[in-house]
Amino acid sequence: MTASAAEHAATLENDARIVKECGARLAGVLAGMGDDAPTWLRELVDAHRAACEVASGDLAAAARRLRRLAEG
Amino acid sequence: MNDGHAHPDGAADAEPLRAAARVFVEVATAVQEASAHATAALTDSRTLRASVRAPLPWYQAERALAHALTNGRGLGYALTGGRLGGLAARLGGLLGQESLAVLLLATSLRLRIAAVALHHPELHADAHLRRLITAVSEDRDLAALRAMRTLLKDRGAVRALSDLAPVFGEVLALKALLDENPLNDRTAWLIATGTRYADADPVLGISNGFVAALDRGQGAARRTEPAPGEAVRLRDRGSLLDFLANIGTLGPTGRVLIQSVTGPDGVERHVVQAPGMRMGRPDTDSPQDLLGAFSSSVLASSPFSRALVKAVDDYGIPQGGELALVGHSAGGSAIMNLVQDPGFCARYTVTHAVAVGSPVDFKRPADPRTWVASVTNQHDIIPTLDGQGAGTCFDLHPDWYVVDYFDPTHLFPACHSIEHYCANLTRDLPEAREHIDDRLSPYRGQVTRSRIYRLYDDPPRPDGYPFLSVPTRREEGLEMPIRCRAGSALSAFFTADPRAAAALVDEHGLGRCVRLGGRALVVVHVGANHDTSAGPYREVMLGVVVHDPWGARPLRVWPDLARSAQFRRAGVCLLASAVDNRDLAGRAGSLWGYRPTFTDVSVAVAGGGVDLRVEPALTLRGRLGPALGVVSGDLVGFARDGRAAYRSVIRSARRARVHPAPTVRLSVGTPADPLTRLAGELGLDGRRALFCTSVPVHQTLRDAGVPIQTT
Repeated sequence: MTASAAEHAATLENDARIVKECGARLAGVLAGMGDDAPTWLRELVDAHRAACEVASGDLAAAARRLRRLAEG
Repeated sequence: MNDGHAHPDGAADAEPLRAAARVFVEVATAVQEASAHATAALTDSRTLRASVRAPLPWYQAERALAHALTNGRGLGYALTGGRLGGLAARLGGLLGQESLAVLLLATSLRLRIAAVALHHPELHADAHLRRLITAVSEDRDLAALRAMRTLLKDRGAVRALSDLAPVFGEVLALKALLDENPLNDRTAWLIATGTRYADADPVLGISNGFVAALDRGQGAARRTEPAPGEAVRLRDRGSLLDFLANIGTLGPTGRVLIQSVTGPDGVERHVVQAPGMRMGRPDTDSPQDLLGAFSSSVLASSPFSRALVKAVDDYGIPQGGELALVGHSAGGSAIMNLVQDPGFCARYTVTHAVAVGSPVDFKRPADPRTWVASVTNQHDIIPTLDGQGAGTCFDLHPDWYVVDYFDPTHLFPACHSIEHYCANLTRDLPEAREHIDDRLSPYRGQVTRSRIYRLYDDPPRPDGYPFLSVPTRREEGLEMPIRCRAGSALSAFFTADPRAAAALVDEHGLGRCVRLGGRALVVVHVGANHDTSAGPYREVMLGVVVHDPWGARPLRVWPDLARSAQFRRAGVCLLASAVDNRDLAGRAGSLWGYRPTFTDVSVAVAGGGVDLRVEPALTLRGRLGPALGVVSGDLVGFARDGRAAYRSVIRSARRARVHPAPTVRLSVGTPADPLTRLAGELGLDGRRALFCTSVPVHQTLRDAGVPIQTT
């Protein structure tokens, strides 16, 4: 059972990193489009980036809790 | 007009938007996977068991996972995957809770719409369309509904669909992603991510597999001749426009054409040309009906494609023979099913496949050497039915030649017709046409053989099956037994002077008259045989109902007369007859023992009445009235030709209705032949029938008479 929690923790740590990178990729989209990016897209990318940041943090927090469960 | 390879618009300004849409799909997929991992951790029963050993850490871990999966500022309502996760996701969908992954995909779809709009400015310039797209994008259902209603009211369903066609898939997917119906979410996901064909309808979420399962059949093909005038219109040269013109000539009639062409190198190759959906009822015995079109598009194998295989096999192409497949609409989907069939591609070398106006984005050739071209008009909705249309941001087939164009004619279904595609390829897309023709150059040459096939869901039953599936032989120059595949019959029964009737029967020596209330029973039997193995013919027979020639059974005769011919003893002593088929008139004596008059006979047994006219002077007309019960529709006749007597039978596949109160009357003019003379002698002129039996739609089997000895 601890092994299971440890596996989940490792997976979520990796996911937290990937989701964080996703936010960066979205920023890259806007950068690539330059001034051609429509306003609605800028607003949505900002919102999505913020959500990715929060989601990454949530996943990392969950991973820490699972790690603690696995070690306990 | 615009065309290109792989990417329709061929315009650099749309590519950044499409590239951005692809990034959003990748990000959405990654976020969805993270959500699925978190859901799996939350619902893992092994982790649950840890609650006993370490309740506080377990609680804290579960709380952190639940928070991650429901945080509106992060992953959103993101429970997904597994039985519990799936159920929770559907509940969330019902409550309108969206996840970050869904919102990312929605943005991707909006980018796809924006890319299409660069070349379809009407999507943004048109106030109704703009309102609809905006409302859908912002998940304002009521506003979207109002916008759609206004659009439909303003320009009708056809025009509205045509205007929306370039972004039809994207709008439906957006709606499905963001609405409260959890059943269509998977379809929306598939359309938005372009991973495979939409396997359910994006509005209600009804499974395509369920609808396609209604289209069953092993597929069958039968050779058929071209309709009058068609043969001369079929092209005798091989080129893209010739093949498409042939498809237009056949039309959506449930048929396909296979031609052999001798190429410039002298090698004979073959071309399958498959039209689209057959118009009419959605489900017929043709695999080219609406259901067939649907299943051909969403399934790898369908009755349409299986029937096509049967046609190709029947055509006689040698093992490994080179084959090009050309299809329009559902025909394009069906030929692509052949292209992705490893067995078919092992038997034949499929060198080229050209699909015009077809949803084929998720078809995969079994042989990578097969060259595939897809031609689609962006205002044609049919090619978008697999979920990918003009707005797709995926290059699903970098090795295909894709011509995805638009022209000023926005109206669907006009822009879907093969004639419209031919006109576009002729006038507006010369480069694309030349490119395809160039690739088809091995097939450019004289057509040496053409054969049309009619396709079926299942092998069609033989004409007249099962009643008429009998061994045949030739007798007296006729194929016997005579099979009537379609016709009608009527017997009108009259009472007559018993002495006059008995005198006539005695002349033949064929039994004794059946009596009813002291009167003899006379029958006028009328047969209208429209489609028989001896050609069409109409006949009328006059006879007296008689007992078994070898013994009268006064009481048992009535049930006996209602029995089928093989068990019946009583019958009709045939006295006179007329027929309008010269062959039968000449041969009846040796076949059945009576000699009919050859004359014009017109018969109609329909609409609850009979109208018989035998030239020059006999008519039988009137209403049959209600039917009460049924009896055997067989007719047993006794006749004598010189010294030979015969028992002959007309067996009917259908039972006869009994009409106890008809208003049918016989009228005889000046006696001119045995029929009119005998009818007059029996006193039938002006008489009303006592009762009638009728078989309005019959199939009959009529063999030669069996010689009998009655003395």
